[in-house]
Amino acid sequence: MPSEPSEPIRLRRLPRAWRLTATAAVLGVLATAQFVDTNDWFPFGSLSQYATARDLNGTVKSISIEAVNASGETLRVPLNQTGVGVGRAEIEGQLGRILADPALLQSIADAHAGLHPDEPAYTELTVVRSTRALVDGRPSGEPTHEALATWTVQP
Amino acid sequence: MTASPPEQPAPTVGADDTRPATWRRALGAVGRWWTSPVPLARVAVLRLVIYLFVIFDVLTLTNDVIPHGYAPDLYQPTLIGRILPFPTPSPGVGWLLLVTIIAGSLVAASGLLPRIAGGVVAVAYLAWMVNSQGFAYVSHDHLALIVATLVLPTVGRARFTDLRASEAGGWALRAIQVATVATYVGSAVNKVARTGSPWAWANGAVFTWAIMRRGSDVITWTLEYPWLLRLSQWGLLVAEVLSPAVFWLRGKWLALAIGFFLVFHLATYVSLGIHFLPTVVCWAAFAPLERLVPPVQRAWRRITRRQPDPGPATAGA
Repeated sequence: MPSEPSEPIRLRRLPRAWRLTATAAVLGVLATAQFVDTNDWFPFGSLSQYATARDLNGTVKSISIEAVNASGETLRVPLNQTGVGVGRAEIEGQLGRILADPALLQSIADAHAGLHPDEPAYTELTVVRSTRALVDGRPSGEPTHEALATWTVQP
Repeated sequence: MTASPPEQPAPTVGADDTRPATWRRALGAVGRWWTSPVPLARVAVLRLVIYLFVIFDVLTLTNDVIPHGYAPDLYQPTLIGRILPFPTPSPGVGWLLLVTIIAGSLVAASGLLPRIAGGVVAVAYLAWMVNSQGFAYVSHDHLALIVATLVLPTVGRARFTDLRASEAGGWALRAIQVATVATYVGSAVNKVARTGSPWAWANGAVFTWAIMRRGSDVITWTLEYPWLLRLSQWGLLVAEVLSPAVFWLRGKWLALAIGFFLVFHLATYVSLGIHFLPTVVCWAAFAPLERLVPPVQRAWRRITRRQPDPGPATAGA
């Protein structure tokens, strides 16, 4: 039996006050975060995905990691949730930190070993940056690849 | 900052005091808008949708938390991850959070123990998201869903058949609605703030950049037509700026506006693999969901009635 609609169930003074206060506070934080431009205030930080303007005559860069494994094969490390758990954007987000201390790449090898114990282990990891130029907003020429850091995996 | 309660008698004011009274009236109107009553049944249906989606989310969309546990050295927690005592990522912690979120969501979706189960999910899901977003990349498709898990437990009991209007339910739904729209309008504000001009972003090459980095086969042909991509950038920016208009739209115009954003997300999913499903599901907070209950009840009654009658031999058992 559905209950009959009647007079609305009102909020009392205090429950109403804390809700409106919390609302104002969160909206204030979220609005400020857009101008301060910080992701640090997650979940109320800047909504910055794809918010950077890209130069029509600039370059498009992309990071990947190449691995040599115990069988001697060279392969591309699957930078995603099921591959090594860490995504490409997460590597790019702390690239400076990784280049300053390539030992952090050990984590990638450890994650691979932990998540895929039956696959041949990685023995060497190389961070590679591919760069392609834009001319008037159109891709131009072939991409170039450069190795930025290499780490010999500790067993 | 609180609204004055409507039942308080208006103070007798002279001509000099009209400004404060206007302020109070405006604040009161804002407070009433934020707590516009909605049927509790609408909250019950939305709660079911949100908590079932949270389970889907932790299993398929943000399923990097357990794998993240194998690379704790790359953990770069955001502010709340540093100040709240959330655990350092490890596979065990990930599994514990996963089980807690799924069990809590199942209970909360059913409407049992709405405050306790909902509260457990809110805390565990926040810990889960702090981990998922704590590896130097923060996506912004989860704003409204996180708000939903935080506000839904505050409504308390809400039955699927309770059509009484509730201000507590109204505030929760309004918060989810505003968080959904803020995802768009806030990102427009951020684009302007970051570039320092209203048009630099839309006139740039961000779609080209995105398609070159992760475009699927259905979209890469557009790289030859930069003007088309620039036009699309303008279309997106204008739509984001205008998104708050949904609060003034009703009926089919509201449905059309929401449909536009859903089609946009479908397009980015097909072309770039970016789906924004956690925001998409929160658009449901704009729908009169309580109308789904009677058809489901009728269907349920039909199914239960169709079951074969037990024979006379078992009838007395």
